[in-house]
Amino acid sequence: MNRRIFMSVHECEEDLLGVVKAVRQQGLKIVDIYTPYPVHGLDRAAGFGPSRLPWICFVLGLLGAGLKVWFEFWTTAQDWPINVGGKPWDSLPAFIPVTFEVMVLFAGVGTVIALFIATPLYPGKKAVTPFARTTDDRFALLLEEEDATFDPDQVRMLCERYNAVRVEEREEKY
Amino acid sequence: MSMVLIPEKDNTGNDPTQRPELILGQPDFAQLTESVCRVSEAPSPPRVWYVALSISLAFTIILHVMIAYLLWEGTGVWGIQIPVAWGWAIANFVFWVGIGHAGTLISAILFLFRQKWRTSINRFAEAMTIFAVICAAIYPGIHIGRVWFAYWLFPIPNYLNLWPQFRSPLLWDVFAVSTYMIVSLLFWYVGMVPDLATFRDRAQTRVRQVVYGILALGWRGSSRQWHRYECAYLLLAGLATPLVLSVHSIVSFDFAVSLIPGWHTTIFPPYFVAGAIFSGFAMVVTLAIPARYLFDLKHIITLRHLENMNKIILVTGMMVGYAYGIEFFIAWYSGNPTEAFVFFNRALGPYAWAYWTMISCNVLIPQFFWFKKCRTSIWFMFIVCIFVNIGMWFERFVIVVTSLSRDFLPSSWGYFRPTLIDVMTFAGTFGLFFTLFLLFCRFLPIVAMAEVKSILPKAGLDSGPHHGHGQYWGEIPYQHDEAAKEGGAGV
Amino acid sequence: MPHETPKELLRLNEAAPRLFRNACLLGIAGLVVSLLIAVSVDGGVKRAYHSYLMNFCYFLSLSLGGLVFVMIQHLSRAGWSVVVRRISEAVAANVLFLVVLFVPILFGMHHLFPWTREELVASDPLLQWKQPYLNVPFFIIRCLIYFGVWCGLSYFLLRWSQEQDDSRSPALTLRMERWSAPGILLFAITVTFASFDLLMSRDPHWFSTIYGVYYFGGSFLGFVSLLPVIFFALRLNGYIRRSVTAEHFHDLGKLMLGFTVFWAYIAFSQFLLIWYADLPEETGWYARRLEGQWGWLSFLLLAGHFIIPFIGLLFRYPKRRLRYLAPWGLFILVMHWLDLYWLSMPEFYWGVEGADTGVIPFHLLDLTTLLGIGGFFLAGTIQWLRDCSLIPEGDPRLKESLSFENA
Repeated sequence: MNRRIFMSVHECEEDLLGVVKAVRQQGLKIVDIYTPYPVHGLDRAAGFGPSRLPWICFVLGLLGAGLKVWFEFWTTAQDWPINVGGKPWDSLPAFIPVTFEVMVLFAGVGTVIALFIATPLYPGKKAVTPFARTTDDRFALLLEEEDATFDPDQVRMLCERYNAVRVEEREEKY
Repeated sequence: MSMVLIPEKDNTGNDPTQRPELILGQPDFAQLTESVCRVSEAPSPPRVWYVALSISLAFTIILHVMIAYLLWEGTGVWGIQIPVAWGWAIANFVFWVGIGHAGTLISAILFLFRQKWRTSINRFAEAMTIFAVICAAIYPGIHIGRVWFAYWLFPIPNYLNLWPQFRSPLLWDVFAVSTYMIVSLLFWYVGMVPDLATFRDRAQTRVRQVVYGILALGWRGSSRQWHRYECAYLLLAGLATPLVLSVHSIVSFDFAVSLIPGWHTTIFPPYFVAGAIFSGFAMVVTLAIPARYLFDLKHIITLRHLENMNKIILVTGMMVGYAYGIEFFIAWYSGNPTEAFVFFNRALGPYAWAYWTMISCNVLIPQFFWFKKCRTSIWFMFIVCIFVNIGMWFERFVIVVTSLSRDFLPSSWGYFRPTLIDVMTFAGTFGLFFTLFLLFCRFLPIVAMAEVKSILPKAGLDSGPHHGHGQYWGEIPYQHDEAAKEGGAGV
Repeated sequence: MPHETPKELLRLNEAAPRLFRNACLLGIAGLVVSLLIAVSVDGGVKRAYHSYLMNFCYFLSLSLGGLVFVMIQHLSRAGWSVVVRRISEAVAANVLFLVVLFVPILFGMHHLFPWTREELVASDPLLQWKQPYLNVPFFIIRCLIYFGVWCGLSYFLLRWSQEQDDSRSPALTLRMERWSAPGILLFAITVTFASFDLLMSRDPHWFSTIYGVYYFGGSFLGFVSLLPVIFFALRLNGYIRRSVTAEHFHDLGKLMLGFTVFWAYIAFSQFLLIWYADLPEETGWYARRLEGQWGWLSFLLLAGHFIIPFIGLLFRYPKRRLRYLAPWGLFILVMHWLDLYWLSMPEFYWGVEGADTGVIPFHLLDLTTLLGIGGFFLAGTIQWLRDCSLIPEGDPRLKESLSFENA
């Protein structure tokens, strides 16, 4: 299926934030926004909800810590108890450092994997950017021309009010 | 060297009414991208780079030869001897791990403290961290003697059905250093992905397109990606912050849980962490000064960045000095004769030369940084930082050797002497460190471009200079009532 | 809204004298009741001194936390914290009142510090060894130095800041910044030795090099937990409802979370090293704190001083809402009090033959002296804020602070 994409390119984040707010007020459908760096306040302007990554991080951290405490207890006190310096079999204070490290390991690695799955990012993935300079110095807003009510001329004027340096329409397969 | 004669633009002024420029010359986004990318895109790097790389490679080869010789002959080729069984290997391990602390401190802790100046230096400080940890990790591996059993350090089921001893601080170290290595690597790489995408999109050659294309993982810089990316970055920073503290604390546990006088003291964990940050920042400054000249990044890594790092060096140097002092005081106050003896012996015994080198380099010399002239003079700070690097190595040497060489049994007392192999192995790790660093400078984005862009005045995050005096009341920009309401205006 | 005059109550004005009087009355009542109990109960004087010292150290820690907080803000040229700095300065300057409240301790030293009792020293070689440091004249000289440093720093940092309200001179910001650098150095040294003298030397055999850091960690945590409580009280009465926003509470919440972890880190470091080495000269201190009822208190601290507030403050939601943050602040303040109790009170039995050391010697005096010193502490804070704005109006970074947002 094909869809028509309307792209507006801007030079600074103020213009971008302005135009994003304006098109959202008009009820237009934003396909995506491309920026060279994380623009402060764009999440709110584009209406994204909070990310769920903190929960993944928290749960994995707990899981890592829990598993490690169990493992340390099992190896040291159950599977093959060895008397070391008269320390108790279940030397909980001595287990804490490694438990902490494993918690951080699980939470950290898990967060990155979750990020790569959600974003999605993996080696060999083809990057689809509207044009090369969005990773350098250009901010691009992509709108979908959903139906006949979408008036390209009117939207073009709107974007130009926010100093669009380039406006174009293109056909895209998806 | 003539390059130092180029006048520095001084942006270290302190006017409380406005925030200083962090990036000089008001570059726009494209100019900034250009000045970072050209380091890697230039057809050939500066000639100095080749010279430095050849020297570093030569030392790396020496390192490999030394390790091979050690494995062939056994650890007897080092100066270690009972009771000084730890010798240089552990001193060097702690030295390198310590240096590896500044990178994650800059990227995580300074991030949480919203220190915008970190963006200019965090990338290569993180790289330095990883390379330092690699150098550190070599030592415990080869120190165990029979390296082919090194996998016993990890809890892998084996035919003896034995598990590693989780009560042992040396095992905590294995977990701490490996976790630190993995998380720092991820932090570094995740932070680099957007910049790698910039490299990819600018690539002129097929090789660069493919290589950076793979490394950039298909990053597009779409707002949905950024949204999650920022969240993940914050989480990693939140995790890395306690991790940094934990790693050197655990390294200090290696010493402090024991009964050895001079090692067993409760201040060790925070004292080691402060020392690690101290030495790490000294190394960052030592590397930043030549790098900014060599790759023409003086407008991105400015005098202000260097001055800020020098201030951190001053503060952490004082913390280290505080710990030295408290240790000494408690050694007397405790009334424990062996403890008192160890400290007396450190200051006046056979290793007094090492002890006073350490005190001079770590406590006395950084005091120059009280003076702004010293903090902002490139030559001066470079020399001070070299001294700090030396001093922090001697700190570890003093800790390891003075306590061990004076065992509880006076008949086993002796004087530790390193062998040539010790010295060459240590020199070799510097070769490895600089080789990796030079390769990094040439092939990867040396400055976090996306992050620096977000603090350029053009990005609008800086609200610009404040207005003149006497006008505050008329135009206080109260927070949108949303935030006030959320805070519970009506309680 | 640019030119609308904000309807923001930033001065205590006529409320101040009434509040001051009530707080003073509370303080007087607390101390008088304590005195009455002390003289009427058998052994009450000794008990009262122990409670008094502990509560003194509690409020001292809050003031010192405030002092170091203010100095760190100056040194780091912080923008976000300007609106919360005036209250911090006032809390820090309470040290000047605490000096007066310190005087009674000097008269009860033989109840509090075993090393002042000649009969104990005569039979104890360790105490004799420590005599060059642990003796009464030197103790008093040291205390003079500590309080001199703290009073000087906190007084001038408050006064210069108040001066700036009118003059709006950025030069004052620079001056405060300049003095904060040596200030922090002096602070670190004085707080360390003060904690050795006032708390650690209550068990004169025991020693720990991290002790000063432990007391500092608790102090800073106590202070950043006190701030939301103060703001809650002020807002309840209609003050500073707009200048200090969710963004500032968010940051205070982060500091509370961070220092909860820092405290746990320091406490665990000290415990682990002593537990692991298991040397008799050190473990005795922990053994006493893990014995009988004290063991329960230790576990309570593990849960209440670390695990519960850590989870409670981990997520963003409670940090940005004062109605949740202030109760957490209060909770941590209670835990910080218990922490000082745990540090200090087991030594009540030091040198006492045949005491049942496993029993927590809780006494009504613990609470009456808390109210007594607390009343004066509150009165002091109000006194410092009587004639000035509740935020540093003349600070050149005020605007940045007001419009601050967490990225």
